[in-house]
Amino acid sequence: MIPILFALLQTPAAQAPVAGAAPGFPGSAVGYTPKVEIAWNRFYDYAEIHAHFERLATAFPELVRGEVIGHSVEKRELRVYTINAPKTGPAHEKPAMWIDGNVHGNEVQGAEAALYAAWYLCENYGHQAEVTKLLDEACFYVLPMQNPDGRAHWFQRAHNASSSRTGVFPTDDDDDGRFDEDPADDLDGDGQITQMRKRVPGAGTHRIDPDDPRVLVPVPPNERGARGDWITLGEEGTDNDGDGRINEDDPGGYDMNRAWPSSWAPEHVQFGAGPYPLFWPETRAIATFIRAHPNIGGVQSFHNSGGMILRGPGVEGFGEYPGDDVRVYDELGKDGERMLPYYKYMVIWKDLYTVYGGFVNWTYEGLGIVSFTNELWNDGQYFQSAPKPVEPGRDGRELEGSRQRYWFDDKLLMGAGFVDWHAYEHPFYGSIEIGGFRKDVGRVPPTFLIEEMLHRNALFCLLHARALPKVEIVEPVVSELGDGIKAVDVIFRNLHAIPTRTAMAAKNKVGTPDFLTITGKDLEVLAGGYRTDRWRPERITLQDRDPARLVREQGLGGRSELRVRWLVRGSAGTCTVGFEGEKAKRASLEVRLR
Amino acid sequence: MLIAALVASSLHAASAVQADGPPDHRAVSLALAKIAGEHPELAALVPVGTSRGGRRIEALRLAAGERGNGRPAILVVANVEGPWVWTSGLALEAARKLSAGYANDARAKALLDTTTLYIVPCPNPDAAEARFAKPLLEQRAGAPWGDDDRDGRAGEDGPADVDGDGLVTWIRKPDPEGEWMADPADARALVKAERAKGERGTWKLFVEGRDSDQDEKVGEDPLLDVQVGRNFPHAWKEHAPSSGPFATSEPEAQALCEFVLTHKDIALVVCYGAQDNLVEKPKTAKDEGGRGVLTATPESDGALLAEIGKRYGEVTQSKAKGGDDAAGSFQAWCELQRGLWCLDIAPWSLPLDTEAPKKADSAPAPVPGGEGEAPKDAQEKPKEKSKDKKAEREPSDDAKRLRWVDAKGESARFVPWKSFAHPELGPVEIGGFAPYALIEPPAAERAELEGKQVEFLTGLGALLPRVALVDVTAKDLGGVWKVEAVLQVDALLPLTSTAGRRTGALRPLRVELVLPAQGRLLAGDKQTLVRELAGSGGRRELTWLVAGVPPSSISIAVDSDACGTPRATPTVKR
Repeated sequence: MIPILFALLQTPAAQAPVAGAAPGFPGSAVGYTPKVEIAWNRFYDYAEIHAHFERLATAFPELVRGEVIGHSVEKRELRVYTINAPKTGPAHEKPAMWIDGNVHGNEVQGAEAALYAAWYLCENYGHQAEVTKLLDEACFYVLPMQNPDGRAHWFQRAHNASSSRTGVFPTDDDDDGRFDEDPADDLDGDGQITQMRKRVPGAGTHRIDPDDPRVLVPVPPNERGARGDWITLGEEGTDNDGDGRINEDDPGGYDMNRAWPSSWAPEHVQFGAGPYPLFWPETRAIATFIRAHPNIGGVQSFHNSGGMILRGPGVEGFGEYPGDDVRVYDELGKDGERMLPYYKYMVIWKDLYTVYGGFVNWTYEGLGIVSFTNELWNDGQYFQSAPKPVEPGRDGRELEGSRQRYWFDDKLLMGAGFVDWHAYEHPFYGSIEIGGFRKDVGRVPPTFLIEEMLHRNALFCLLHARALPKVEIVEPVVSELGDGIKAVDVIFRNLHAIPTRTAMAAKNKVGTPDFLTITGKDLEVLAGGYRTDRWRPERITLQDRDPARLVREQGLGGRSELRVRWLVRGSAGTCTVGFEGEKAKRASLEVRLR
Repeated sequence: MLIAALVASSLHAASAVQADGPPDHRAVSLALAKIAGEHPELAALVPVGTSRGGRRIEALRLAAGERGNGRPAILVVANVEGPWVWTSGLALEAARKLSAGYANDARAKALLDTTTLYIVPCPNPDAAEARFAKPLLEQRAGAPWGDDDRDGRAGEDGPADVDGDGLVTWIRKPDPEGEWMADPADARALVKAERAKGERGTWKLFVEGRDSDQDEKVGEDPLLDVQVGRNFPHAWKEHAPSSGPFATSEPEAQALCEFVLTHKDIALVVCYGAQDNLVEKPKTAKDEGGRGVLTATPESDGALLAEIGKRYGEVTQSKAKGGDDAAGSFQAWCELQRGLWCLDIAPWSLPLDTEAPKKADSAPAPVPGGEGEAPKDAQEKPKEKSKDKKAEREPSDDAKRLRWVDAKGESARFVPWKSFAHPELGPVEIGGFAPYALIEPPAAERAELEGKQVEFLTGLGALLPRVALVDVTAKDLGGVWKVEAVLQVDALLPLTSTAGRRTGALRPLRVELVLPAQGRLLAGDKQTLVRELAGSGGRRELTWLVAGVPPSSISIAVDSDACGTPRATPTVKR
């Protein structure tokens, strides 16, 4: 007892590493201290997110590099942080994983998940073998906030869990020629936009839940003679523009996850799409960056909520994705379901709803990149059990939907998440009550569950990144065919699950095809092609022209190999066989010709 | 001799802008500046954007008097596609005539007193510049896309002037795998052989060029692919090289979209170029098409376009049809996504209706065994083997065009096929229609064509809906006033097109009852949004009950982007 106490007292400062602690911070608790401490039980505003990335850049200057790729409507920075180990090559020569969050301003935890992924990579690089291997082979582009304005507004102004989803480009939601002139109003000045209700004895549509006076329940229409004492009046607010309607023209009023060029549809079909694709400066800047980085082979976009691992298509009419790609999606998605309890791997249009012009639809359908959207957090996690626990009291009814939140809020947050109903004198409705859940309840987890959410989702990104294609060239065999002609046989192998070119990319001729090359001093390449029969070397699908540079539109499939044969003449010494592709590191092999 | 004839023709003098030829970008800029300088009270330059190649895109705004809220505007855009360069001259001519005519032409004055015009003669200057380059080439594309033929090299095998005659025309190569054969009606024209009819192809047809990558294809990987005229969001074709990487990826396309979005006074768009919806009735779809994307002009809009088309025919006598579909076009975006009225005008096309010369003396097919080699096994159709076989086939459009070329003596438009030893393809023939031959009217016809088009344009202001407040009354109900107002549109076009209502992209008309502080609204809406009001006398009645103030202190105020902002005080009704 005494020696332990002594040791603790000798620790010079709380933030310094514990003497003898192992470097890295992989996720097991004993003996590790991170180099950069970030409290993972909080959410951070726009500037704080960037400040944490800058701390990482300072602590890991060789691994982290930030750049400003554009600005939001309110001139906030869109910063992409590149996480790369330069000693194994520059980022653009490696397959890359793109991670972003917070395209919807209120869906804040995506930024922390992106930050967590960057932090985890940095802390563990050079210390944990698998992380080191991953970052030696791949790099990461991390954009924590696609919509920094929406985030800043959600943090700094009165909002609820679902508001500030949009950006803040002035938009005339109510078609009256005035812009953003009738937002919700924080009438009681508590920093939250909660709900309004009014007591109208005997003339209402709702009554107080006998189990919980905070809850209004609708009076069923078939309850003869029963009348409610309450009506609901929607979100806190007044008629700012005097048009007889309340809260009908909030700031912004669009959806930056409906703005992307694939399966895009105009506003009359898809709310929030804007007048043309990539209309808002944030979306255009991000698209420009992604198009300029053809090495991106994986995309992860973080949203909230519901507990979903989503892939396209977003629209039924698009048709199912090619089978070879679906197999990759399924493999990652199903592992994801195990890594993320209460999350479901789903197809957007079929299992959620129709989305035209979604971001991950564009990155896959337009650019051929395997792409997921995760919807972080769901109610099932309140109780870490099946999503509908039976209520412990009274009539044994199930706690459904928001009623679970009341119970949870009472027992685990001591009621801190709920603004109790209180009287307010409304200029239009007269005496009313205002109350409801705070903005940080419902779509984001409470503090003590944040870290778990971030870790599991960040590690899902790493799972995806570990599947990025990795090509090696093996088993060279040189055979003499007589008359000075030699056959060079090699195997091109993709070791990982994602193909070097997805079927979608190949089908639509996206980007650059892969090239399989053979070069050598004074080497004359007579023919080259793909062997179709393991046992009969003369069975080759020949390329018509330019046999020294085979053009491979369909790339190398996931965990597959391709046997290539060249017929050559001339070079006395060695030749070099090479692989070039946009989404995999180059590979080459020296082959002795005799 | 032939070359000399070509150079002498206004069509093919490629190296310089000619006085009677279409204007290049510089000439357009100078002409716009000149008009703005000469008519400062009417004309002003408005920036639209900058092309990928750094050329300024400008609009000339023409308007007389106050340009208050609600005054409608017509946007006139020429040659979004690229090769319709001569229509830039047409747009300039319209600007000149209207600005000069304001002083003494009653119709021009009436138009500019009530309507704003934005004239954009050269929205796609980079592609248009090809019209003035050597060699001469019809160019729709303005930006590279990538590797069209997927051989790992981008833009290495584009069109080129191989025979050095200053024109990029066509190559035909005798080839048993070819799918083209000489048109029986005119051997200079090629038609696709139909194997099912026993026809056999004898030619391969390419655009004129080298085969730099020796893949036996010519012009299959041009340096420039992306067409501004295919880069707009409606029906944009993803992954087609001409469409660009995404809709509005091209600065010219985005600039035009932004111009439309930021000039909410635009009520009508007139486009000169490849498309037509006035001579031929546009394809239409049912007015109520559910929640889906508008795919074609709604029927009721089509009926109004037909009426405008009838008037267009009366003024211009034009039978010129367009040749382009709407996919990715500026016009389609304006009409089917922004809900704007859009008149697509192809002011000239090479006529197809020239009578065939009486004596059938078409030249023999240049390759033995080409046409007329009927298969021996076609016994089931013995009659078709007869000498009437030539007459069976409707002459191809090219054959019909050649009739016009011959009749008019416009020989420079068609370069006779001529043997050439191609460095990669071997013996071939080079010839065919010259660049711009199907696009530009004869120089001698241009002035008349332009005059008629300007006349038609001058009358368009009268078609635009302008909402009037009529019958604004107040009736005393005993201390309470019943206020009534009728909105009326007298012009042909309704307040909003059906496409406009479906898309919801246009701001509705807003009617406000304006009361002094002591006035009390007892019934009715302080503000009414009106989305629908028929043309040709369509009416909408609004009613309020007001107390506390006399009718003379009440106003009915209309607010709109492009159909007027009348305001009225009710007269007391007995």
